[in-house]
Amino acid sequence: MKNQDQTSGDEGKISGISLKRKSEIVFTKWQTEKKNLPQIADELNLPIAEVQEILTKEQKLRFPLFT
Amino acid sequence: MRTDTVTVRMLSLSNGKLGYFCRTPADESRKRENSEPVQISQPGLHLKRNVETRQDVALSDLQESNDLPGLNRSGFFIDSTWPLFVSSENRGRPPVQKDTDDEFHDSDIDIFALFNAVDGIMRNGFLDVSELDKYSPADAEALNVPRLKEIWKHTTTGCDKCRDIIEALQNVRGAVKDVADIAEQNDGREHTVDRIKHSF
Repeated sequence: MKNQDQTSGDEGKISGISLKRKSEIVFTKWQTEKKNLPQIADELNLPIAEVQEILTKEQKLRFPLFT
Repeated sequence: MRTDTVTVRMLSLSNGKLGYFCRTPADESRKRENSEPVQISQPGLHLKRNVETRQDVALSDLQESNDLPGLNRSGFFIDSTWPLFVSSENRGRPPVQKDTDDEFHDSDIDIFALFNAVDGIMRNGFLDVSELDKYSPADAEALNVPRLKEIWKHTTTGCDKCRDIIEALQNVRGAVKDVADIAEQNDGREHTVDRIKHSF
């Protein structure tokens, strides 16, 4: 059984996980792995617009003083 | 029966200044003359009447007195030079001005989206807008590149808030990289020290 917190090895797809966890993964890839939007979208097999939306929301959530 | 003349001193706050006037029995009798019996069947009317009659008495005091109030004269003192604090234009807290640039700083597509779309790459002190042209037509449409370019134009106006957000995002991303670099350097140093120790 696949761990829900990990990306699936076959397709690189994150499925069946909560939006919160998905947001954490996207943010980690952006912050610590220094991946850009197309790279994150490719790795997670997500539409680039969705990655963009998740990332910006997560940034504002983590750093509310910016806004 | 013995009767004494009683002077009642009342305080009045008028236009932000504390004034006072004295009420004598003559005033009270005038007030009673002005007062009309109030029917209880009209709810709230007695309160309205009471206010009106008090105002009438005060007004008549002013009209009858030709001398200005001073140290030895009672009455209202109205300083017309004082600003009128309570007016129809200036009642309560001033309305909060909405930041018209919020659409650039906190909306669905804003400075955060632009920063992420160009991956924080800077050119000539601004985010590198040419990075947006590297997207495929489909991705460009999905990311709404025309709107991102409008936001980029706004950043070139010297918006302090945009600059702060860009700086902060770069620091957030850079801080982690710095820590990782230091950790790697420390690991390398320890390995070197170990090698030196083993060589002796």
